[in-house]
Amino acid sequence: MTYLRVDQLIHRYGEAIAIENVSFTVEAGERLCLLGPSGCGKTTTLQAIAGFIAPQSGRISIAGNEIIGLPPEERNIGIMFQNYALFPHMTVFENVAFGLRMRRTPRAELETRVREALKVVRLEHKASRMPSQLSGGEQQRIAFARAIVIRPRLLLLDEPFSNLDARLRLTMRHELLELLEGLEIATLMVTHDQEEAMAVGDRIAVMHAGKIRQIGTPQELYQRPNSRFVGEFLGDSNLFPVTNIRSEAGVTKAAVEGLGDVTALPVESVPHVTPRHLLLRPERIKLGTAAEPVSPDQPNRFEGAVEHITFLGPRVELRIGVAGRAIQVFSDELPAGLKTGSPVQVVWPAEASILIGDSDD
Amino acid sequence: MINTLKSKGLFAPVAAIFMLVSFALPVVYLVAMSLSQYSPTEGVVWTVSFANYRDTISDLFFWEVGWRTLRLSMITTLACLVLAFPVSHYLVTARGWRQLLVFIILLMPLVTSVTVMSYGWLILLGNRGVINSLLLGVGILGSPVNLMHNEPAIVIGLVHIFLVFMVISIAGSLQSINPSFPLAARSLGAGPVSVFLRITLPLCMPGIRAGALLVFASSMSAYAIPGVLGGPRYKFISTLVYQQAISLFNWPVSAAYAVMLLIITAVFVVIALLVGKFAGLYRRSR
Repeated sequence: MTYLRVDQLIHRYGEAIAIENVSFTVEAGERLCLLGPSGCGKTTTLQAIAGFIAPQSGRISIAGNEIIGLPPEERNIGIMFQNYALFPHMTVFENVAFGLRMRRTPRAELETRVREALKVVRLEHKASRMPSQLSGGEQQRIAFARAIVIRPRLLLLDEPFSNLDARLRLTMRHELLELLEGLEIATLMVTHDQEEAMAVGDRIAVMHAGKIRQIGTPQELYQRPNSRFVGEFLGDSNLFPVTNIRSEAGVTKAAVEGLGDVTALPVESVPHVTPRHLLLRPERIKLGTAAEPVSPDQPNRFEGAVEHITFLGPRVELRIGVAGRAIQVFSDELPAGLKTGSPVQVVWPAEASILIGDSDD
Repeated sequence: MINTLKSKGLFAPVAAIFMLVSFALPVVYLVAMSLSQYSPTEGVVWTVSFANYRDTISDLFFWEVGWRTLRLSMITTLACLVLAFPVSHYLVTARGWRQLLVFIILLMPLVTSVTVMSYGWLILLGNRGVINSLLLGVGILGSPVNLMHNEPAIVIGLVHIFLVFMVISIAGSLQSINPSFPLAARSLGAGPVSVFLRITLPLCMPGIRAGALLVFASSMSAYAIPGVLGGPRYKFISTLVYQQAISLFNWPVSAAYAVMLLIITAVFVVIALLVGKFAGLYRRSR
């Protein structure tokens, strides 16, 4: 059942178009991530849903009720701000209680609900502290408690992890996911970090230049991007220009200069999109050495030489030169005896070759 | 690095000497003067006597003037407070030439001589001034109304010159409020009025306190504005100080008035600060 429906949203700041025909839906209890670089319109979309800006056209409805035109205080949407926006002159308790006070909740119920919310984020013992006395992670948990204590119809998360350092970011991501899973509330998260989007989102909507480029599950977007932009934004990739595509006995062959024919998955019949690139994720490529050659009946098998090796601990990044083309390969371990200059074979399955159009298609 | 350390080390004594010479010594001299006696033949006779204070405290006229000074200064402070919020808000949100224009308008009284400004108000408010002429010309009035030489005129003049202190103080506080705070409050169910009362106003308290102190203390010691706009009937304490010192050459009584003004101002400033502090403590303890 569609819970949140955003339909044909358009907003301009003066001449500049912020969002153009943005449409998507969020199911009840679903988590959708708006992912994109800064300036792609994801924050504008969030602000339009929150009611902080009035879009020039389009419709937004929650559970069938139109909310465009309602002031933010009547939308009953919980928001966790990027900088948490905890009120510095109020205690943790008063911060969490603020939304309930605005709703004139009876004192006893207010006490219980605030205590409950603080218990959920495991910060009951900090109720009388001021926000400035809390760590970044604790502040975030209070911001979360404040957003959910009002039992909102929808939860908006604005770049929730960008204010935390790298180590804490991962911890808080796990923690937030746990909290969200316990609540089953429809959630919209805005982020520029593809890893966060994939970790938190049931589905991801990739935005670019005010438009949604693709919506799908993290797997779909990562493995079957519909454009060069989505493919490159979701993760590291090798990109080869394709000169010709033909189908031979049900097998799609793409001609790549220098490599020759590359076996790929059939191109889905997307109108107006002519595949121009072959996108290949570095971790899908396997290596074969003189000692352990790959089997000769593998379709995409090319001879090359190691140009550069970067050891990163959990994985090794290699640059392999194949017919004057540099191919990036991620491997979980370095094959024995391989060093810069060694001859090496690269091989990948047909389904790893993704044929996509140009960035603007 | 060494240079900055050196200059830092120099700074404190220099400031101390400056304060001593320009502030502490004159006050000591003033207090000493207020304890002496005036003799029509010899001028200042240096004694240590509280006679001047006894006379001042038992002088009903002094208290009438003192009460007016205090009352109008408080009204001026309140009026500045009310006016400063919209102006500060505009100053903080406006951009480019609009912001500059507001700033120039606000700062104008500070770079103009107070006497010149007072006479400016005279032209506007006088019996044959712009406002009266206009109302007479249109036919709303049959005879000129006395807009000058009353207490409201003094307040108008004081607000005009001191508003800028309040605006700058409050604008500083407003500027430092995270723009997400009002949005967060709105999303939690607070309407614009609640946002102002529960978020903006409390977070502006430091600016309000600083601005109110500046305006109140400046109004208490105002001289030219009450002199010109209040006329001879509506005196401020500083008018009395001036009369005693310059017209009557009675420096000891004049000094006693000045010290009384200082004490009254200080007492009310301290009361205001304490009230603010306890209100803050009370809020925090809830």
